[in-house]
Amino acid sequence: MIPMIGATKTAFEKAKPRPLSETRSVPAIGYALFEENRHVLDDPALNAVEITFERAADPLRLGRCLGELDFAYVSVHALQLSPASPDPPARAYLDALRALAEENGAAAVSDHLGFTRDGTGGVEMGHFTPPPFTAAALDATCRNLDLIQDYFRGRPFFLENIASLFHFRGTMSEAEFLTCVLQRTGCGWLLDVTNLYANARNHGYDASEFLRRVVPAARRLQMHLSGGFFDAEAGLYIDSHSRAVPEEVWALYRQALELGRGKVAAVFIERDQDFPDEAGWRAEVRKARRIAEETEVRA
Amino acid sequence: MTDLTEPESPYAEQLRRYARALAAGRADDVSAALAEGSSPAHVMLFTEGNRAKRHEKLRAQLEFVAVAFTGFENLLAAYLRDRPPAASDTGAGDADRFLEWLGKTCGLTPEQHDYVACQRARHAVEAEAFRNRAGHVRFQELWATAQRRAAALDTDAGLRVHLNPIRAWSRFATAALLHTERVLPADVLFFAVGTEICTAVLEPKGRERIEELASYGPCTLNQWAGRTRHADGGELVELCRDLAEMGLVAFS
Repeated sequence: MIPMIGATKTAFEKAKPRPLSETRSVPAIGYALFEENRHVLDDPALNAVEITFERAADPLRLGRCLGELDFAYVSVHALQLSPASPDPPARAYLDALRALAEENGAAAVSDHLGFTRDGTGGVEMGHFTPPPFTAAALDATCRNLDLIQDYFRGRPFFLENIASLFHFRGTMSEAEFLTCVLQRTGCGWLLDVTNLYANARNHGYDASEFLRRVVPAARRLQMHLSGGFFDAEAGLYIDSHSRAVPEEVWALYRQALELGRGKVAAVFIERDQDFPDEAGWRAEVRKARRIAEETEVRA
Repeated sequence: MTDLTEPESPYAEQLRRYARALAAGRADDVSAALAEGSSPAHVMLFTEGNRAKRHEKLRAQLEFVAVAFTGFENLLAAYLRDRPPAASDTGAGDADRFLEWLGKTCGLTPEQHDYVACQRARHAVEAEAFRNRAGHVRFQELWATAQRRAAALDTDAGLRVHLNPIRAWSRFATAALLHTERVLPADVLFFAVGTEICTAVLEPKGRERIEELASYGPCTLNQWAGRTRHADGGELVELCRDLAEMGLVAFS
């Protein structure tokens, strides 16, 4: 039988963006939003939240996905802008992203440095992968980022470094490529510390050196922290967002806070599976704040 | 700058080869392009992970249709093998493409046809809400006061009638999904009510009135009555009250 479902009504209001002062030194800190962590979003250590578009954008939704909750900093995180594709992002997707950002008062939007598809009329791969680090890829990425930033004018855009199981042959390193992108477009860097740790471990480079090289090129930063595991069979560290943040990542986080002092807008912890108990949720966000405050005091 | 306006610029061609190989799980096709330290085995980890996630998502989205088929998993597996997701697919795009493929590939029984039609109509409503988010939100705001305003339809000639913009028609050939025996085939309207999708099975006259209203756009009852030759003002008032109760019209 076709279900006849009763109507519900939720008041819908557009929230005003609440940009965080860029001179503020201790970043806003919070979680990537999941139903499983809503119950700890009132923690005093937490004043930011990241909304992943693909999880929040029920086309029939009426109200804010944040409900009555209020945060100093909200960011909308996208998965399908595919900035390294030869074609620009689809207009409908941009419009939907902006609608979600407006409804929730988001101060920023972000997506990943990679491609999820070839071009219009082509195929979707299901996940992003890094482009070959070449001049042509740099041109395409920068052109798309210019379009994206122009579209979201007033809401800074942040580009995330991704964890990749493989790389295509190119003419420059990932650090060089990312530095050029940040310098040419002026977009922010969503530094995923765990992705950096995973890539450094899997592809054999120095994560600290990567930070020293790229952080100065970024006008503004957001950060992601998460935990994964080492897959002995594959010989790879997998950033699964399923474990507590490892000590090595906390150490890189400290270094990134020091290098990026004064321009880190927000830090988000990502946990997508094998969720911790309430104490675990609270402990991790408090640790992220404590480290940020200690870094500030030392400075 | 590289000329990116050419659809087949070397970079576009390069990414097309990579994306199609990765979407189809053909790791060997990109092995020559991998950087030192990367291997086809690493590529396979990537493609197999993507395929598993896609399979899981499709299975969840198509649960309703699956009950109408024996060997549904085999059909899904064949689709996953044959068809990569289309660029910029969002929401239920891949699931809808599967249903289209199913209709072309398998001889559907009339009941299976109805299950597929029902699911595709739900996808069409969601896709319309995605495209016309402002229209969806605005209509639902208006609809919140529709019951109260419907009472004034006889007396307030200035009230304008708005048709719910988030809707899609389907046609069922059997009674498999209908509550009661109807004259078949039956026209079924799917539409958004709040955050849910509701349905209405309408008589041919009801469908005609809905289509009239869709073509006129928001209008007063007098304007509607003046343009249609098939109903008088009194009939339209009653119709509007019924439609408002269902969530299909609202007033301003």
